[in-house]
Amino acid sequence: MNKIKHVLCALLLCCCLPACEKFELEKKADTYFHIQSENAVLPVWVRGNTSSKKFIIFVNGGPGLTSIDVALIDLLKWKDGLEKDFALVYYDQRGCGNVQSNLSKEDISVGHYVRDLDAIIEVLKSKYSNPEIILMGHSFGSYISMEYLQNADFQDKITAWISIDGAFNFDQELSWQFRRAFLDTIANEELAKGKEIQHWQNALDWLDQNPVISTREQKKQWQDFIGRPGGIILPADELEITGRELLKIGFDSPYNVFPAYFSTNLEIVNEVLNDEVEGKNFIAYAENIEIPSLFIWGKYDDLIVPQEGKTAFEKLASKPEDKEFILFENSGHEPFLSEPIFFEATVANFLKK
Amino acid sequence: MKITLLLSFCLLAGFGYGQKFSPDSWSAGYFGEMISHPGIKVAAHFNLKSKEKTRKEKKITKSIEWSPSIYGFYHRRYQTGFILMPEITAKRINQKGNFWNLTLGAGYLRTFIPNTYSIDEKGEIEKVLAGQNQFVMSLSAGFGHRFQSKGLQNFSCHFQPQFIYALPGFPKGIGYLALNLGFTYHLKNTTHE
Repeated sequence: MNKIKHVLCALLLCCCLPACEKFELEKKADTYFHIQSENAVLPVWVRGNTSSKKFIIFVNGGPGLTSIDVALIDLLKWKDGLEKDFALVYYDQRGCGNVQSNLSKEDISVGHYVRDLDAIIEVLKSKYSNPEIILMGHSFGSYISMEYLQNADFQDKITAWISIDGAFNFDQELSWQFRRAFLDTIANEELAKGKEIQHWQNALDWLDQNPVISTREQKKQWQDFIGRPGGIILPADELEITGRELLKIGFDSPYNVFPAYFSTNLEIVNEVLNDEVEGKNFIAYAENIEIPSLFIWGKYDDLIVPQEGKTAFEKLASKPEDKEFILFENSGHEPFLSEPIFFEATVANFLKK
Repeated sequence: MKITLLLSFCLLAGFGYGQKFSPDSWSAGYFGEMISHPGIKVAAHFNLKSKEKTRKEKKITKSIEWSPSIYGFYHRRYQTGFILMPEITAKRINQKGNFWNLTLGAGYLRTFIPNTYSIDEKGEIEKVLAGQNQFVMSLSAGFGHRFQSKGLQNFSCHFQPQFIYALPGFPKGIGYLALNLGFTYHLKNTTHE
């Protein structure tokens, strides 16, 4: 009986001992830690080549999506790509995925997201001997990183900014002006190629008769001309997740799938953050950004159209030789899925300059 | 909330009852949070009520048990958790020793989040002990077998999937799926042979 007691005590002690994580500059780093930022504990995963001393923090969009699980099954295929040359930093944002906390709706705001991001950056700088930090935001994540860069002290901590199909404008009226211009551009290009002539001619005629798109019927008609992803012209950004990968997330990972997938937290985060920014236009914020910046945009992104991105890009205060706008010819809202090889090459070339 | 309070009251009432007696059996086994994240569960079982029926010459015993339990689990890179939970079990065992049971529980979960860093007011980075204190509710159903061969009469084994819901969390609570696999050592013959 005494032996059993000793074995049980030893097992309990083993469970109590936290797994030690190392913060080292190496080629294949795999360091998982947490950041306590105010009342939330966020999981952070550093993977890849930390010896490069270039850390790319991926700020996911949504709002309300997750990153740790995406990294876990290497959905973006960066493990054998970007992570060879750079260190990638994945984290789950407050209220999402595996953030452990007792939050209320009042604890969810863009301001909180910016402070969380700064806490991560501070810890990375301290633990990895002041590496270069690159912010790479996708969609709403681009807006979070843009908000972060509005603070001059924060901007000083960042080496470069990469915005992928960033959401900077939440004023629907303005968005539909950009979308109208987007349809006009696409229709003219397709007519020049001689494709679907009748369809695109009808689109141009419709645009002539509708100088402003505001009603539900007009928006539906616009979508009918553009088509659905995988239809007329928009590429379908298909995610390939195998059953084995799902099992890995569920049963062989740091992930607890219940808060990540079987909870309404993501919908709540989405709703709260969208309500906060609804009707606002942050494109002018680009004027305060002076660091080298790369804008990556899917040519066929019908959610945040390239015209919108180009307008923000032109306002950047970065030196002309330090900023690039790269249009991905065969992509929609997720160029890293549609053109992964070109995406990695574009990011690597920009960061190696 | 009313259900939670009622459940807590019933479980605590069982605690008061159980204190009068020494346990009828002890169980210990593997507690796998999400099946693969290892842990252990130890419980003492007190028989509150037992009723025997004979149907077509087959003897069936139904019983209600109260079981204060301690759990511990280790989910690498996520958290280490300890649970203190009194449970109420309804159990049905047949003549061959096969049984199934349904268990309800309510208790306390303490989690520890590994490798957590915080920035203090001076801007210094420090490693902190992070984690949560949570109220947990649990529902599990399982089956098992009471051995009848000589030398093993005092033992039974069980297989019991369990769902645990921890409060508070965001937006309300956090779910856990777990699997219990273990053995019970019977000190008293409270069911039947």
